Amino acid sequence: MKYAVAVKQVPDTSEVRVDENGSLVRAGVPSILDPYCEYALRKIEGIRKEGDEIVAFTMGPPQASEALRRCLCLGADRAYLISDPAFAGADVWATSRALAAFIQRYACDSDLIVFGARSSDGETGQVPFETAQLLSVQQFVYVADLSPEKDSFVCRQIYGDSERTCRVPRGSAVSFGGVDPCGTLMSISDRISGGKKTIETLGRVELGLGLYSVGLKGSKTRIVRTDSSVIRRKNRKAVINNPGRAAELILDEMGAGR
Amino acid sequence: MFTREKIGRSEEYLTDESKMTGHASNVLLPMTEQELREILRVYNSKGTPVTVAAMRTGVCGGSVPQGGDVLSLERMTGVIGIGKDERGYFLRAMPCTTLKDIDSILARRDFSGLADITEGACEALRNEPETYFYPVDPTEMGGSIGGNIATNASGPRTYRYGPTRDWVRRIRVVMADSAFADITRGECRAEGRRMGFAAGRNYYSFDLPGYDFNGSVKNAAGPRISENMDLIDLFIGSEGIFGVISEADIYLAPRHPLISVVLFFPDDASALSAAKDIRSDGILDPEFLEFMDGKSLDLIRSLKKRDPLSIRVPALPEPAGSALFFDIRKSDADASFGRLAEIAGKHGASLDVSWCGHEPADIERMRELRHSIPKTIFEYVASLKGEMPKIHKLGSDMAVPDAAADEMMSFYREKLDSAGLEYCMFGHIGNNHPHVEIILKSMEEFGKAKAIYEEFAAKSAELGGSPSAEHGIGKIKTQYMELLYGRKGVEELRKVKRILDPNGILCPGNMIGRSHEICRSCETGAGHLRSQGG
Repeated sequence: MKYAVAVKQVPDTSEVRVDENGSLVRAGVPSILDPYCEYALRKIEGIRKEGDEIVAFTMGPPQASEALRRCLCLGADRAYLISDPAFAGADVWATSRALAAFIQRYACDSDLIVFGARSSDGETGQVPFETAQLLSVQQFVYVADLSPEKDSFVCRQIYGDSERTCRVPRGSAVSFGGVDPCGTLMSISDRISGGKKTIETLGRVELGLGLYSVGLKGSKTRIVRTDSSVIRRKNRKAVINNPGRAAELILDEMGAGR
Repeated sequence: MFTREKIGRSEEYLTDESKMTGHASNVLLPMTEQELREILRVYNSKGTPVTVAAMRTGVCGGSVPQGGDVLSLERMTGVIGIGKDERGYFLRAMPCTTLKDIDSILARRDFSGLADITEGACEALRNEPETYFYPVDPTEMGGSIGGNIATNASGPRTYRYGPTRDWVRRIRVVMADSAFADITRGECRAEGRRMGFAAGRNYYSFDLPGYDFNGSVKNAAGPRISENMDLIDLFIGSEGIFGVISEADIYLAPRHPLISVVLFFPDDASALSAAKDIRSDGILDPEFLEFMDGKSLDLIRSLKKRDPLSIRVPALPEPAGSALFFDIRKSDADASFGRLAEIAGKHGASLDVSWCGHEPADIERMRELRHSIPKTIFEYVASLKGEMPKIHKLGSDMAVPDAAADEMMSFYREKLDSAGLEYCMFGHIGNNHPHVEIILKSMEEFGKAKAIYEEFAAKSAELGGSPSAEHGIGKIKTQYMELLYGRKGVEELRKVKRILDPNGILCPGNMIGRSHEICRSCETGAGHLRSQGG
């Protein structure tokens, strides 16, 4: 089996602060492999069999290669950095278009296209959907478990309070719904072997994309204004021993807030 | 005016991380040095004692009051500015600024609002190619810089960088009578064993104790007394008994990108012999070298079994029976990994299951792993307090010279095994300073463990080490001062205390016990306080 895993480098959101103007202060904030993407990669690493191949790819600036290096240390066999100044300012649509172009040209024989649920900086969760749409492949979201079968996969999806188990045809896109709170600590052997693997960089021309298909020019989103909202909370403590009455009080409070 | 609040039933000002409890009437909360001086002026005139406290992260009861009031510096917080002298960059901070806050400001290079102590220092530091940091790492980053200086705190990175003392450039100290002294290293030294300095209108002149502080091992037992000593070293490590630190300058060092490593071994003996190889290795050259024995790893396993999210690390590899935690420089990674493979092979460790982390989040998780051991034991002891109020944590804090390290380790095991006590060992093996934590289950065991602990202390002193390598003396370990310096040495320190704090109001009970209960006729008149004018 061949797995193409899309990943993203993000600022470590636990370190991000907001300044007095409501802007994110990213100076000095370390960049990390997105925990959602890392979780998805680890899930695939967990089901891989001998002879399987994992290809990690990301779109980002040159320093995003550090996230790919981590993927190589965590089990990916090859890595591609999709990087070009023309990609700057891409919204989810332009990002999905570049990722879809990469898959069509460099990973079209993948048995599965894998994503994390969303990125921890943008939090849109739209890239898996739009990439699948552009590739005209089936998509399976909120995947908790996945197991390969002879010619397909079986996945278990968790939709809040309901679960669904279904067959996933080869070539589909899946996005895993979780994140590992304990994270991953790579072994020293994996670090040594991952450090020896190469990362290939691809630009706009290699992906066959026009200037108006990528980056800010290829984006459909236009940000008109950004405001920071200040949430003021009034805390009140009530001690109620009856759960029913407590629920009523919460509903009343919610009603009053509307 | 200063703020004074009744303590009442609020116990948080009456204890610290030792879980020892004390008693006091009020908590005093100065916001400025002016208010701090006002408090000391009033309290000195009344002869009412104050116990200085900040973040109360100490483990020897130094900030636990034994009467009088608590002088909490918690409102005197914040970084004041950046400066540079011939040694390098330094940072000026209020006493209750936490190490975490200092680290965060330096990591982000966020110097907005900070003063240039020397011209253009903030801008110059911002433009340095490398990030700077305060390298003393006492494990507890929530502790205050003033508390760290008062106890001469140290920790894992003492292995490379030495204790707090080595990084203090200058302090401002408010004396018991409210006068203040501004003390910069190198500006005031003793003449032989005679020290003299001015503070406000007063001139203090006295004989220093006759003993020499043992600086050859990690040692937090009192100030560094020696001939021709620097005045600043009298206050560093003096646990607040001579004066209250109201401001401090600490030196900074360039931060090298590091890779943290946890190397798992089949048993403790393999890990300890690998530690010797790593320590003497010219290539690996770690900044710290920490040990976690098999029982510590079992403690972590049981903690994670109860609550998998209690420590944010993956499950420990099952065959692991012991571990070493250290770091290597990123720039030398290839050579270091090669050397590591050789050492691991020689001592039965496997690089396939051992961890490395080169991203800050990974490094922090490994640090959390190591820190979880004492934290779990602290919480366990605290949980026993309801049933056994007099119980407190009993963990060793002894460091010995290299030549005596094996003998001391054997002594620990022999004594504890023969007493049938459960224990775990972890900590600063690079400085021959493991913590041996006795896991107590009853008051009977507590009594037994206390007696054994005394034997550990005596043995470490006999081997040329220190029974208080990094935790300080506080109120729990005062007997070790006499063990190290003799009755005469402690009495000489008390004489200094009576010169600098004649009414004995500052931190009574710390380090030298109750100094003012000693008969004043014992004094030889070696020291005196002279008023300058007014």
